[in-house]
Amino acid sequence: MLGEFEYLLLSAAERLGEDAYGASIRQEIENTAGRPCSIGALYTTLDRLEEKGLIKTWMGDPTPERGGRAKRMVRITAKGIRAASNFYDVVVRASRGVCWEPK
Amino acid sequence: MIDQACWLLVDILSRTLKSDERDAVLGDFKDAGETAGKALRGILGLVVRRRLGLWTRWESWLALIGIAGFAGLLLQIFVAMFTGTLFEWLVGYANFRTPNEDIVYLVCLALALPVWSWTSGFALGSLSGRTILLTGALFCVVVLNPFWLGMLRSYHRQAEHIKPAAFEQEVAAASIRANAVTLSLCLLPAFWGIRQGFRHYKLQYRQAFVLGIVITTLILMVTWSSGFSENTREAMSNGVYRAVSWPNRLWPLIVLNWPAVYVIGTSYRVTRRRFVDKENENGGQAG
Repeated sequence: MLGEFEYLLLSAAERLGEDAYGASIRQEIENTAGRPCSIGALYTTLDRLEEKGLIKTWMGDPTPERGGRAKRMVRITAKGIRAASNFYDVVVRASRGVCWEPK
Repeated sequence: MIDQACWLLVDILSRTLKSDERDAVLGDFKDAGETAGKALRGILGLVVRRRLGLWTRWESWLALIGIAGFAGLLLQIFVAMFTGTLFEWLVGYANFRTPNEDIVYLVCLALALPVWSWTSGFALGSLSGRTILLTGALFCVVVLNPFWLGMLRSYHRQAEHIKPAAFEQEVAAASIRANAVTLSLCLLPAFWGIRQGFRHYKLQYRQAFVLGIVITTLILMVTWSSGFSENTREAMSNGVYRAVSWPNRLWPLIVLNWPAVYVIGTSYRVTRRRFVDKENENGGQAG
């Protein structure tokens, strides 16, 4: 079972597709979750997800706008898609019949 | 000015990361137009997480507690015994051994200490991984504790402006010589072992077998020679003092040498894996 942050990261990577790398994923998580995402949490979670085989990462080419530094590119694997889909199903099932509106 | 200092700190901290990760993180900061303060907080968080992550491996804890702590403490006792005996022999102090027995005991320890230090260092280097700076430093501090204490005492004496007499100067010189011998017998082999272990050098099974025989022989020699003073002391006290029996002198030495079991065990595993891989290769070619 994924953790909440792991799910956010996988969703962001899937949404960004070919453009998924450290900074863009971080921006996407901050936009969707509405809270700051630390670079420490991001990179340690990327490592953990890669160890579990849920994503694949590699170093891209250096670009001038990044001061000649390479990006850590991210692609979600088939196993990662299954894990994220399972997590989503569980959240949907768990939320069925529950109203979170303040009474 | 503050921004510059923050970016300098970011640069320094980022050097502790792997080169690929450093590239990606610094590039991300530039990409996102991060402020210096936020970048510093971010890199600090990452470095702390990475450092803590090193301690999620059981090997790091085994190196810290089992070798730097436990084996190091036992080794420290024999380091102190060697330094003490060498010092007594150099200045001609009387102890419970004859001069010839002193020499035999010193030779046994002088042969054993480098081998034990190398073996512990090798296992420490193999197990510690990137925590080696901490575990290695702790191992050296623990093993050479008597040496540090001696240095502290001599510094204290200098600070107190105590001018030693000629005899005391001679004694101090003997003490320095004894400590220097101990340092070179322990520290150099330990560093060499740590370096080899850290670089994933693996012993061939034959080398490990020889190491096992050498260590067993040294354990027996030290157990035997440490009995000289025990027997004399018991005889001189007319039975008031009970000599430490040989099994009780043997056990600490066996425990002290547990890293050798690890070194021999891993070499057996590596040699066996190589053998199986070779067999599979040959089988594949034949097929």
